[in-house]
Amino acid sequence: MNPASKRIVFSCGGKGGVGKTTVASAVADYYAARGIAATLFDCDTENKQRGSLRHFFPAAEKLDIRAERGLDRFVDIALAADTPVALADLAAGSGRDTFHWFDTMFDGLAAAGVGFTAVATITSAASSVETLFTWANALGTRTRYLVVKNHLAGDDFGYFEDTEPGRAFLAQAEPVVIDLKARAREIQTELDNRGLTAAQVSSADAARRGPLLNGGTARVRAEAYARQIDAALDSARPLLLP
Amino acid sequence: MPGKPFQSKLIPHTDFIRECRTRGLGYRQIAAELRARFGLPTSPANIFSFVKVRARRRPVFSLPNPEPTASASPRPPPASPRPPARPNPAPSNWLNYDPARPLEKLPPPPP
Repeated sequence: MNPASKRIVFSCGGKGGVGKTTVASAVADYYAARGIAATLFDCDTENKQRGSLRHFFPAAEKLDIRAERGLDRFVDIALAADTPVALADLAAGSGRDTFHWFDTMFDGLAAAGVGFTAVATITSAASSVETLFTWANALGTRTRYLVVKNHLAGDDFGYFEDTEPGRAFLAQAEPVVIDLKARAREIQTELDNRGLTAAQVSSADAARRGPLLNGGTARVRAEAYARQIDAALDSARPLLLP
Repeated sequence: MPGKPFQSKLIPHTDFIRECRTRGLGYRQIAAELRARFGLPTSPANIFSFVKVRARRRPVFSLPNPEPTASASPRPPPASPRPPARPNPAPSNWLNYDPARPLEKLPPPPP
């Protein structure tokens, strides 16, 4: 496949527990639902098996970008794959490695027509927003930005929208900002426990769903979660495709 | 015989510094970049010493000759073996974000 038709979508690996993998999984579901072939990378080598991207998508390639030439290997695989998009769920704290690599490699890949989308998942906590600003400060406008406001800890995103760096980011980077509505904690934790995304619940067999997700209410909720994030991602379609 | 180099906090950023030098950035600019990108406070003189010591000990680093003083005034960048033009470079601290300071919420903009 011509690299000119490639897009590399990656999560901004910063603070843990903000929903990076939940969002990355939802993006993978988005591609799967539309028959868009995607190469998946689970770069969160420090994360336990349960709860990592490969837990939800066993075909995802586990890759340590902090290893020597790890990022080079990631891109080599992504470019060689016969898929229009590559999706990488980066580990928390992977910024420095990525920033330097990006500085070194961006020109060549951009010249080859590879586009980048950084997916930043934020909550109402300042620390999650600081991760976004750190990444944006380093990557600049060389990548497009998809910001996912995860409402798990509240609906106040003032640290993102009402701070000087936030306003500068919104004005200059022109990100697409979408919402991940709050989810019932017991349902989300059970999804994580069973390696199911919300979108996979309806097609999973009863044994894999387990007692909670076999319950009517939980199942309906999970399916609603899947529809919500899918519709939100569809509003960001240009950032997810080449 | 020279001893083991001082364990500088810049060591993890050796590749980054080399890249900056290759691109013709001065030590003051590199210090600003390190602070903006990695939240690492350091001085141009510190970077100068770091580069100088390693360039002497390990020619494989291929670092360009350091500037004569740490407070060098702006000057044209030296010829670079890499393509100098970056189609869409990351501006230095374009968000005016200082990770060492807490985020301060601003009053809402006027309607």
